[in-house]
Amino acid sequence: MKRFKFIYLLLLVLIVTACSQNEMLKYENEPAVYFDGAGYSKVDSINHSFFLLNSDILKDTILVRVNTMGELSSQARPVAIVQTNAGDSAAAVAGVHYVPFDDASLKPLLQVPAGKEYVDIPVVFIRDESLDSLKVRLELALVTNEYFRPGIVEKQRFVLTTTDLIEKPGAWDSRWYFAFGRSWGPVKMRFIIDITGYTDWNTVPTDMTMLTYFGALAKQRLLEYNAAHPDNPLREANGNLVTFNS
Amino acid sequence: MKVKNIFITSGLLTVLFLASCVTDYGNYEYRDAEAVLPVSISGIKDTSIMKGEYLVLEPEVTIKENQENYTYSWYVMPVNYAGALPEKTVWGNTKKLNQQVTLAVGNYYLNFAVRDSVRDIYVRKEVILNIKATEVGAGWFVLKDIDNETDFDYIKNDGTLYPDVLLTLADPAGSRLKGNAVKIEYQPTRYYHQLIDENGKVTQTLSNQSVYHILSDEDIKVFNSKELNLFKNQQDVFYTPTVCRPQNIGYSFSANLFLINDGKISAIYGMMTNIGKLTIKTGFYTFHPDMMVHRSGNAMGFDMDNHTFYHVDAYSDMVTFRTGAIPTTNMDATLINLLSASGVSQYGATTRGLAVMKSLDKDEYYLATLNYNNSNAYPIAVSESDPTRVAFDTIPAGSKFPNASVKAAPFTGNFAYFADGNKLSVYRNAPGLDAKESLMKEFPAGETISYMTNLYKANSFNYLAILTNSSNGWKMYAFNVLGLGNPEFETTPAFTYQGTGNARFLMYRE
Repeated sequence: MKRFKFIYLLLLVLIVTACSQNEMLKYENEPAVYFDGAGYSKVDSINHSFFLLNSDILKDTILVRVNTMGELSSQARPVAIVQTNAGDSAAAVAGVHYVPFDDASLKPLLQVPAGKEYVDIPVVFIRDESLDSLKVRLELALVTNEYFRPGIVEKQRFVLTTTDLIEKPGAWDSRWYFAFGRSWGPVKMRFIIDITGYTDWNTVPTDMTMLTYFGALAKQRLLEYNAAHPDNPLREANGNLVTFNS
Repeated sequence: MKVKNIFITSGLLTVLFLASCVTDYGNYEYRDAEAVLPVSISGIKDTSIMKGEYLVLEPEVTIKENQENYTYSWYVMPVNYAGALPEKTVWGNTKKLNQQVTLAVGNYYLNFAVRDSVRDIYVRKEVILNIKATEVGAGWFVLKDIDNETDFDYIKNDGTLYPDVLLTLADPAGSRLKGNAVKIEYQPTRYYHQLIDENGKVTQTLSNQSVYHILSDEDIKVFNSKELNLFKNQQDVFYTPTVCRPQNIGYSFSANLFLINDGKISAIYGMMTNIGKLTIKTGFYTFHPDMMVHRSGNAMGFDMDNHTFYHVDAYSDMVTFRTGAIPTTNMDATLINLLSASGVSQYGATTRGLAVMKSLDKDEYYLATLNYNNSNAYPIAVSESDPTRVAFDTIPAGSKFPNASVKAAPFTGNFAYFADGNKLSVYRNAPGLDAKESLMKEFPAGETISYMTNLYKANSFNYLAILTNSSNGWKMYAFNVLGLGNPEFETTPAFTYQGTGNARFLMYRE
């Protein structure tokens, strides 16, 4: 009997304490920022090349989108961004290869505008003559300031490279190969640029038949070139024949 | 103790019993709809109207009681609304509809509803409303030229003729092509076109359009088939400007498009999103103007430089055919004509046709029977009379057939029609015949046969359709062919039409 009384008491306690109204969680606004990625397929890096541009272009701007987390603000909010690989070998040098982020010309641009949820950070590359023989790397990270903290862990860093050497487009192996074949080389790249006139190799046209057209155009011009140079078909520096079939 | 347990158990079971039954609010009394809402609607049916006209409809409505409680409404909703919610457009709230139709061309559900405003229940009648911008649709298209300009006359299936469509009905009016007529081709779907504003910015990409491709010997135009508005001029159909010397165009039902222009063949691979621009197939070649387009996707053509037949894949590079008894690469003969069998909606594994060829080093002509199966499989058919060899037959010396100005392959059968002037003849390819050529019909003096086609549709018709030109203009004859596989046809045409200008090509569109 005592046992049953104990069980009843225990059940009573359980019933009384089992259910309680949950406090609703309230959103604690702690704004944060993270890199969005760039281009058609979200990537965390951009390969830039002055090679693809006219030789009179001495500075070129790449926009890197940074998104916010948290509520919008009615005021502009600066974003803190730093280079993390300064001093490493092949690292880009502020003021030599790119305009530093604390430059007066850039400061107004490094802030999320009022009422907006993103900002396109300008990374201004400088066409220093060292890039003729070098490819430099600029590793960026978002850091805490009074307005933002770093957000999504996987999206806190972004890498850019620049060079004046000929550069394989980042989307070559994923998209451009469809038009030009998987093989790549500087001579082939220069040939394609001259034939098509296309320069924005980080952006692949969404019109798939334009890719088909580019590929057909390049193939035809190569056939014509090789027919005109039967003893000297187009080759890379290493002797490999340029081809669009593989 | 046992009694106590029984009481406790009974108590719990009673609680369960009382909690398990709930009131059933279901309605088991069904009544006839007419008894609930005694309204009937009649007097309206599926209808077509031209855009911009007024649609006037007054249905018969019978309301058995309390007529003062009822209201009316008319509304339309599109039949096709892929990927979005259908939009409802209310047209009025009176019994009689008198509405100017300004909706886009297409099919709609037109609804007339009678509502009991007290009980808020209604009955409605739904019909199909077809809005069209032009009468040009299913029927015959006679492509012609007048004074070095290309236009077409359209003949509806009921026999109504609409002359000079590009001059009078197209948008903009006066959209004739310069040059002499070559071909018209209808693409019923999967055509893409970008709308571009005055600043050159793309504002919209139209997909799944149906169009007419029209070629003259120096111009190309593409028209939206529903509203006959101009989509593209010649400079718009290629990615980069090119010499404009169109020679042939063909559409396959798998949505691929092929164009032969200035000896080069171009294609659009229809299964890929595109903007309606063609890409030239690479290589060093000069294609003969004739080609065979397989309804399931690809094309077959002949390179006059290397005397080689090619399988032209819309998606990838063109290739030669696999080897067979008679080589189809670097042949000892050149092509005079490549004639396709023209069934209407001809589906099937092979596209039949004939190749009329001439030896490169002898005064000798050949007729090859082709079975093109949409791949690079060997295309020359096996001979019907001797299965041990392929059908690559020598045409007897002195035959008129090889050099006749107009030829046509039958839908099926071992023969070909040919014509010179006003005389229509047949060349029978069967072996052992003493006379392979015979005159079938002589048209009135002054008429010159300019085009022929054998159009066959199972269970519908088998026509030999012929265009002639004279100083009075063009004339079209449609003869019933007497059975499949035979060239004979009824001597009296099933129907004829005529118009002005020089007719060069005839198309039938379903």
